[in-house]
Amino acid sequence: MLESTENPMAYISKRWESLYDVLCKRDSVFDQMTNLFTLCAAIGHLNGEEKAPIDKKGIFRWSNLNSETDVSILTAMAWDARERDLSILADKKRIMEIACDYAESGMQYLYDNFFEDYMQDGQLLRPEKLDIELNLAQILEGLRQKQSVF
Amino acid sequence: MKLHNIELVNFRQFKDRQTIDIATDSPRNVSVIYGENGRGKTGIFRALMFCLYGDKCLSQDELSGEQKKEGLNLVNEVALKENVGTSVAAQVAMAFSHQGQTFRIVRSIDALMKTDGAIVQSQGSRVELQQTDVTGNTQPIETDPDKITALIQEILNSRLRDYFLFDGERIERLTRNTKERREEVRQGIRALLDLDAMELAIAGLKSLISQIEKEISHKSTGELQRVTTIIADLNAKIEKLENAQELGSQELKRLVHKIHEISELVSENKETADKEKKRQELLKNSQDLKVERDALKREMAGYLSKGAQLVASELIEQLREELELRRHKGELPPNIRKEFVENLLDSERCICGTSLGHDHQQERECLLEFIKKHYTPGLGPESLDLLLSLSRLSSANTGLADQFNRLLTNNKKLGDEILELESKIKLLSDELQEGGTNIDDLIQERKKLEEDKRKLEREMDRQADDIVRAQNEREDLKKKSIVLEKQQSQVNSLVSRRILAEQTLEELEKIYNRFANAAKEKLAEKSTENFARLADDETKKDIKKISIDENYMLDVLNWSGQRRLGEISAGQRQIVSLSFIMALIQVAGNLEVPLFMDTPFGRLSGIHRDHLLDTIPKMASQWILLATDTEFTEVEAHALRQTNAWGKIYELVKEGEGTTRIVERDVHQFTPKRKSIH
Repeated sequence: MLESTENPMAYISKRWESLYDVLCKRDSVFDQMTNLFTLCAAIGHLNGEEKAPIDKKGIFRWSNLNSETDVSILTAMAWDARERDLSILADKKRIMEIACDYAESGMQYLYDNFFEDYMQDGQLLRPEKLDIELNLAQILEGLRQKQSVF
Repeated sequence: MKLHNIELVNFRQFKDRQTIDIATDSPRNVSVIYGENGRGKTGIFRALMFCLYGDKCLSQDELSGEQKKEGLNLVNEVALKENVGTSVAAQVAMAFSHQGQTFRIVRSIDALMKTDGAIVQSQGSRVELQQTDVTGNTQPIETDPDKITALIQEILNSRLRDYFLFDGERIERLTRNTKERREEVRQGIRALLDLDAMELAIAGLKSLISQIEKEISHKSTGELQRVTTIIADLNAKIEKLENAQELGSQELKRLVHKIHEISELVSENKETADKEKKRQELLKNSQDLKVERDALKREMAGYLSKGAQLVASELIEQLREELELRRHKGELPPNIRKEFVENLLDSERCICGTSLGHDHQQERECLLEFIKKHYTPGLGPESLDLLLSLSRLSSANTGLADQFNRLLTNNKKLGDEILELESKIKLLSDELQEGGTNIDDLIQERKKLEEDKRKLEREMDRQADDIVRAQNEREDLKKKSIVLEKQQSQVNSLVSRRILAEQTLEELEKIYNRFANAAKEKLAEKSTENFARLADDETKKDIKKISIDENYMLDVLNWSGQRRLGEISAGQRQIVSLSFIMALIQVAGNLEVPLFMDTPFGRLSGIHRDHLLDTIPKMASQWILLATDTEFTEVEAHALRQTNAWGKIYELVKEGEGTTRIVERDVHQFTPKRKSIH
C-alpha cells in the first residue's frame, strides 16, 4: 500500500455518490469514475469555482487515474490555480485536493443545469429514459463556446 | 525456614560486626537474647525485618506519614560521627536453610552525617541472596531486589510475618474485635491454607461474568428485530409491485393486440388503407431513425469520456505554450536528467568515451556550468513531463471539437427528422380519424387504446422505479441484518458463556466455603487444644473453647457457650493469640518457621510463662526470645533449663553512648540479674 501522499484518495460529497454510480456503471455514459471526476474538475476549473466536498466519500486513488490524460489535466489545472508555481507539480496530494474542490464545483454545475429536475431522494429517476448523453454534450458545447469567448 | 545466624554491621546501636548464632538443633531450639530496656532487643527484631523485607520501620513505631516513608535511621550513629562527611553502611546478613538448601541474605543501607550533625540516609537498600553449596562455599545467586523479594515471599510470606515475628505485647491485638483484626485472621488462614489461588479464581470468574454481561448489554439492542420487520414489509411491497407489473404487462399485451386488430380493420378500407399503409411506413422510418439516434448516442458517450479534454482544451494549449516558452528561456530542466549528468561526473567518463577526470578540467567545468544553469533547486522532472503530456494532449485535441460538433449536429438533424416524421404520422392519424363512421369509431377506439397504453407504460415505469428503490433499500438492510445477526449469535454465545461461568462460580464458591469452614473449624479446635496447654487453671475455668466465627472473628466461649473475649485480661488475650498462632503452624502441616518474640512474657503471669516455656519449644521449630531482665528472671531461666530446649543465650551489654555489644553466655551458667518480680 502506497503512502497517501504518493497515492492520495479522490473525494466527492456523499450526495453525489449515487450519481457517480449511475453514470459510471457498466454500459452507462462513462467508462470510469476517473473520466467523470476529471470532467467535473475541468468544468469547475473553467467556471473558476473551488468547493470543498461535504461529508466526503473516497471513490478512487491517484493510481487509478489515466496517466496520459487525467493526470496531465488535473496537474495542469492545479498549476494554473496556484499562480503557475512549478513546485506544485511534484505534490500529488495537493494536486488531488485542488482537483476534488474543482470536481465538487463541476458536479454542482451539472446538477443545477440538468440532473436536479430528474432526481428524487438523491436518486436519478429512470436514467435510461433520459437523454443524458445529448444533454451533457450540449452542456459541454455551451461551456466550450463560453471558453472560446474568454 | 530455619534461622542459623544473624550478623549485624553498624546497624542501629550495634557498632562494627556482631553475630548471633541461633539455636537450631532439636530439642535445643530456644535462643534467648537478654537485655535491659534500651539495649537494642527491638533493634535485633528490626534487623530481621530489614534484612528479610527491607523494612525501615516497624508497625509499632509511632511515626508520622512522612517519617514512615523516610524510615528510621538504621546506621550506627557513633560510626557516622567518626566518619562525618563520609558514607557509612549498615548491613544485616541472615543465614537460613529452607527445604534442604542453605541461603544467606545480605542487605545494607548507606547514611552520611553532615557537619551540622544532620543524618541523610539513602532511600533504597542493596540486597544480595547467596547460596551455600555442599562443599560449604557461599556464592551470590541473585542481586535483583524484586526477584529476591519474590523468593523471600515464597519462603515466608510477608502477610504471615506478623504471626511468627512479633512483639509479644502486641500479639494480643489479634483478639481485638475490629475489622482490621478480623481481616488479619482471615488473611492468616488464607495465606497458610493457600486459599489465595481459589479466591483469585473466584474474583476472576466474577470479573469475567461482569465483562460478559457488559458485552451482552452492549450487543443486545433490538435493532435486528426492527430491521427484520422492515425487510419483511419491503418484501411484501416488492411482491405487490411485481404482481402489479405482471398484470400490467398482460394488460399491455392485450392493448397492443387490440390496437393491432383495429389497425387491421382500418386497413381494409382502401382509402384509409393507403393512408394507414403510409402511416405504418412513416412509423417504421421513425423507428429506424430512433435506432440510428441510439447508435449516435453511444458514439457520443465515447466522446463524453474525453469531455475533460474538450472543456480544458484552451487551458491545455495555454499552459503548453507557457511551458514551452519557459523551456526556451531555460527555466525548465532539460530532457537530460540531472542524476545522469552527475553520474558522468562521478564516473569521470562521458558515454562517448571522453575522459571527464580531473585532468580534463575544461570538460568538467562545462558540465558543472550546465547543471548550474539548467537545474533549479526544488524543481524535478515533473515540469518537463507535464510539457510533454500537454503537447500530446494538444495534438490529440485537434479535431476533437469538430467531431464532437459533428455528433451534436447529426443528433440535432436526426431529432428534427424524427419530429417531422412524427408530425406527418399525427397528420395521417388525424385524417384517418376524420374518415368514415366505422373507421372513425375504430380510429377513435384505437386512439383511446393507445392513450391507455401510454398511461399503463408510465404507471409501469413508476412501479419499476419503486421496485428498484425498494430492492436497493432491502439490499442495504440485508447487509445490516447480516451484521446484526452475527451480533445476535455472539449474544447467544455470550449468554451460554455467562451461564457456564455462573455455574462454575457457584461450585467454586461452595468448594471454597466448605474448605474455608473446615479450616476454620480445625483452627478453632487446635487453638482450643493449645489454649488448654498454655492457660492456667483459673483461666480454663472461665474459658471452654476458642472459636472463629463466619466473619473470621477470634473469640472465646465460656462453658455456657457465651462469648467472653471482652472480659478477659490482656495476658489472657496473649495466650489466646499464641494458641491461635500455634494452631496455624499445626494446621498448615510442615510449616517450618521460627517463632521470633520480642517481649514475650511482659503481660503474662507466672503459670502462663511456665506453660509457654514448656509447650512452645515442642511445637515451634525454633523459638527466639527477646526478653528484658524483668520478664526473664531466674524463675524463667530455671523453667527453660528444665525443658532441655535452651540452646543459646546472648546478653546485650551497653558499651558506651549509643553502642551495644552482643555477648554470648553459657546457657548452663547464665544467671539473670533478677530472681523474680512475681
